[in-house]
Amino acid sequence: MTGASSEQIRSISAAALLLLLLAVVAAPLAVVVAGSVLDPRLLGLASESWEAGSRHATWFSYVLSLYGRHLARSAALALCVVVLAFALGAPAAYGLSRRKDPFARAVAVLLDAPLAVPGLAVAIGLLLAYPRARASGAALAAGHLVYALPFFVRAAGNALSGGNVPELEEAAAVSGAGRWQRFRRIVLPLARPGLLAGALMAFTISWGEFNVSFLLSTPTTSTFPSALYLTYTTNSFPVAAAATTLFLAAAVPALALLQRIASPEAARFGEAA
Amino acid sequence: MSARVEVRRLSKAYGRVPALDRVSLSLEPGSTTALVGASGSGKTTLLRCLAGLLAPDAGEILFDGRDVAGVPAERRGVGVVFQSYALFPHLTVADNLAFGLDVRRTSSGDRARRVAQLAEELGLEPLLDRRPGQISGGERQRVALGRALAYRPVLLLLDEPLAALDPNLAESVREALARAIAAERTTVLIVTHDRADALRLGDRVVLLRAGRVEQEGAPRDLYRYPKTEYAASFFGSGALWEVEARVEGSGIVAETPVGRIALPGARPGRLRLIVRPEALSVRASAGTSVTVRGVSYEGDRSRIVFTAGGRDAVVFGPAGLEVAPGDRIGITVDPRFLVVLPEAEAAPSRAASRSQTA
Repeated sequence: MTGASSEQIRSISAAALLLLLLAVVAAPLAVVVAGSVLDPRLLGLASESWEAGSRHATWFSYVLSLYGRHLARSAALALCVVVLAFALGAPAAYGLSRRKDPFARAVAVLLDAPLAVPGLAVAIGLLLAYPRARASGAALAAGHLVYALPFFVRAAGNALSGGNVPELEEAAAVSGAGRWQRFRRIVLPLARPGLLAGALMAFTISWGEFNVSFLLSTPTTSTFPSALYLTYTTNSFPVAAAATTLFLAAAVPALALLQRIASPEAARFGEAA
Repeated sequence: MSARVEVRRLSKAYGRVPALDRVSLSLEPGSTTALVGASGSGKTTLLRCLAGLLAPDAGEILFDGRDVAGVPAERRGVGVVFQSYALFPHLTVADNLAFGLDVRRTSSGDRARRVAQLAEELGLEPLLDRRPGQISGGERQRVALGRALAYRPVLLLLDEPLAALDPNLAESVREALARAIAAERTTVLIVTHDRADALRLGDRVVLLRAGRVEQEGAPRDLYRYPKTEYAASFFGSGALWEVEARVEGSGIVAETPVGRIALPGARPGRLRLIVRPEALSVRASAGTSVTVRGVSYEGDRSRIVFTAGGRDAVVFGPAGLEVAPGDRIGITVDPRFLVVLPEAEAAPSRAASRSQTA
């Protein structure tokens, strides 16, 4: 027998995992964020756009002046996707959680199918099927929805049918509550954390979506991730770095909130009844 | 307002497994009926059909003569106490109690009065602002009962109301239950697998077996006059002796493993006797001598298993009796406590052998 206990092995592997996570995720982000605030000459990255950008107080205000509209559009689109995901996904999740027939299974498979298909194919499919939807941004919204919906439905479905919600609905029914009252007074309050988690998930997916957006957007509808791509291909590094930092600034709080909400409902109601 | 409930030839199958097989029974207004049976006998299925949570395949359910087939659960006015209580975890005890009133848009004055009344009846006053997660099992049980009674149901259904409680708690809840039922004067159906609860809580007892009504009647009658071996063994322990009864003089007598007994009122021929422990007594120097096979000490009495005529039977001996396996004891029989089964019991039907879910 070696001296290492399973406890030690576990803490060593946890430390290794943390280091790997830092190396893969945190370090590149840290470089980018640093690049957005430090003088680029320190990093040896000065270039011609330095001149244009130097008229602004910070790289951030420069990025906002260039791509502020994209940022606003991305936010509007993400909110729009959240609303659509909720409107379509909550009833779908409710239905799928209650029905176990072949139709329900077919719908569930159909919902998940786009996740296994490259964004390119989804985008081209949408363009071919609805050629006029591109100019208004409807195709863009649809493209985002296709990716956000399965995640929303999964989160919402767990919340709507989780624990003893179906039995509580029966208790509400015999107490005299009709379908709508059962949904409003029992199902919705109990599912709220899950629905909120699903909505945030839909928001973050839409916010970071690039593949489909790049193909489906027009100059008047293009979103911030597309702008980000432009900054990396056409602007200097500090501009791209500042844009990336702005992008993260919106996504990180949403993800942090998601982590908080995703904690078990039981914590909110004490011991489960 | 309590309803007269009639169930007529109700059938329900899950896939190909029948859970209810042409069950008929009627519940008098204001009566308390205990629906008892082994697990899988169809009790819960019948309860769910009555509540409107499950649609029967065939048969009718009438509330005061009105067929409720198309009436959804929310419009039946039935109160249900679920086995798991199914309290709403996000609502306070007061809001749980008032749920049925709130969905009926009861005025706030009436709501407050009813909640206060139920809280007093059920001893829930100090808990009204708590959530279900913050109260004990017995307290939850009472909240569930109060929630089902709040809107004055025409029929109150209780699904295994005492099964989840520990025995000491169950005793106090059983009393509270009996009091609340008496105070509310509604028609009550209690589903239970516990024979003692059934005999104690019901004015009437209905015994279900494999989706059919095996026997129904007053609690005493089910215990004293079971019509089938199954009913006899469900409601009490006892040996089954097959005997030959014949006319002797002006009466009927039978030779049993513990001697010759007079059976007034019986008919001659082959008979099946259920011999409950209370029909037998241990005697030091009288009666038929039998061999003790086993003794279990139960504190206030001893449970003695003995062999007589090649059969086992049980008798209770007084607390001080010292016997051991192999000893010989004397047994006498009190014929008043013997149960004579009707001769023509249908052979255990196909219903008895098939597997069940409910």
